[in-house]
Amino acid sequence: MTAHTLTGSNAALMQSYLDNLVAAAPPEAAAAPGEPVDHAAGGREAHAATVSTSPHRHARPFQALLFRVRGVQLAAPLLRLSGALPWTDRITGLPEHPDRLVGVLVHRGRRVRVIDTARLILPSQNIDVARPSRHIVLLDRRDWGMTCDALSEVLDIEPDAVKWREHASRRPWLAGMLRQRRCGLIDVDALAGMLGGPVA
Amino acid sequence: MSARVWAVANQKGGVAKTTTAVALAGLLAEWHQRVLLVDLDPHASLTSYAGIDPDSVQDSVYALFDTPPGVDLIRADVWPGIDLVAGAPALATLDRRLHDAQGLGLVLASWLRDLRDRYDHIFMDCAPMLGILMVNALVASDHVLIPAQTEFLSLNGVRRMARTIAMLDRSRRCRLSWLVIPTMYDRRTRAAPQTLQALRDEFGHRVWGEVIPVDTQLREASRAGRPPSEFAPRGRSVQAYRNLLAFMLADAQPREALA
Ligand SMILES: Nc1ncnc2c1ncn2[C@@H]1O[C@H](COP(=O)(O)OP(=O)(O)OP(=O)(O)O)[C@@H](O)[C@H]1O
Ligand SMILES: [Mg+2]
Repeated sequence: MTAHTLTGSNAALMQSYLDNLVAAAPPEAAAAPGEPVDHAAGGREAHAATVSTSPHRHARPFQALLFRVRGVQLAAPLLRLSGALPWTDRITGLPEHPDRLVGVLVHRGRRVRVIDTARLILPSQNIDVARPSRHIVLLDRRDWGMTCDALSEVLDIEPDAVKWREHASRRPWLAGMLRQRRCGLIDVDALAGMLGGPVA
Repeated sequence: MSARVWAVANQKGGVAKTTTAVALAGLLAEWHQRVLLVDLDPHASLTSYAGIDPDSVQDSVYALFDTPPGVDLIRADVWPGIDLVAGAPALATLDRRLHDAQGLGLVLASWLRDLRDRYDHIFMDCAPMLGILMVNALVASDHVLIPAQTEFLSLNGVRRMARTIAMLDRSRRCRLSWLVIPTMYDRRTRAAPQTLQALRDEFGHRVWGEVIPVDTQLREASRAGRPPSEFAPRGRSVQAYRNLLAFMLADAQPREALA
């Protein structure tokens, strides 16, 4: 890496090498990105044009986790979830929180806001309040958890096995329906968008 | 949305850095995530993997260190949804050419900053040696992925990376998050479980809890020039990379600034 002979204190030499590399502002050449950005945009548009009209559609087969929320079967792409936890009493309620928020759970040092999935996405007449939540499904990278009463199974799903939602609707979280299972597929990004800003 | 930037690095060679970068990029692209791969290796095996002859590449990362850069570096859709900044043999000369290296560790970070809203994930594939390019990758990244082959000699490579990252943290007054990924795990050997245990003993929670198993399909995928998830979607190594990805997205902590 350098022409120095690394005698004496290797570590000190190395540290000063690194200090120097990250020391000053980068030279002009690096500071002006210009063209490459536009090029990236062009390429991206070209790619987008090849994808189907539904903004929710997956191009490739994917895996989905099926779970039940107050008796209603739902699915979510597995890769957009980071896991599921058994129900726990460690969820702390927050004062004056909306009733779709159950509370906050500290999991691996991070605050996970647990939402009452049913109250967020099911019509109120479908909510079977007697059914207890037994699991929390964690969404990827967003520090949100969804309550559910049971985890069912993981399915391999072909894009054509889904009736993708083409137009906006009052249920932005719904990406489409799994035809065979008659069950709604959640768009995790849209759902996260509905959840809005930080709670506490 | 702002891209998450990952450096894939290990000062030891042949540990599955390039394979890991392509495998993860392929999986993300299947999910319509926009991915940029950056080849920082003079051997440019990532570029070759993408079917591009590195010897023919004019517009490599090298141009970022030239004044003015003046060329488009990004090749769109080398695989569906995956863009590439190519590597080239000329990269090997950077350290010698730029002997006055002050501030040159920040070049890539500054360039990528303007690309962050165009991608969901950016992976930088490093060469197995410490130098200007690896420092650039570490500086530009939110997280470092350190693939480590599960065999006896691999511990040293990880140690060296940990030391480099610690020093760089000191230079930059921040703490970079890093994750060791045990790769090429072969249960039938004695070395694999022993090395895995040694890695866990020494690096604790920084070692991913699962492994990427040894799987000849990975080599076949690279020979075919296709991302593993497309070549063998149900292969065991692809499943393992899928698990890794789920873990990365959920658990990796971004860089912390030190007070
Ligand atoms: N899990 C695995 N099982 C079997 N072979 C693997 C596995 N992962 C990678 N390989 C193969 O091992 C070889 C080295 O992998 P790769 O090129 O990804 O390593 P690298 O760390 O990028 O190497 P270099 O340091 O030379 O850049 C390749 O032939 C690759 O196909
Ligand atoms: Mg490589």
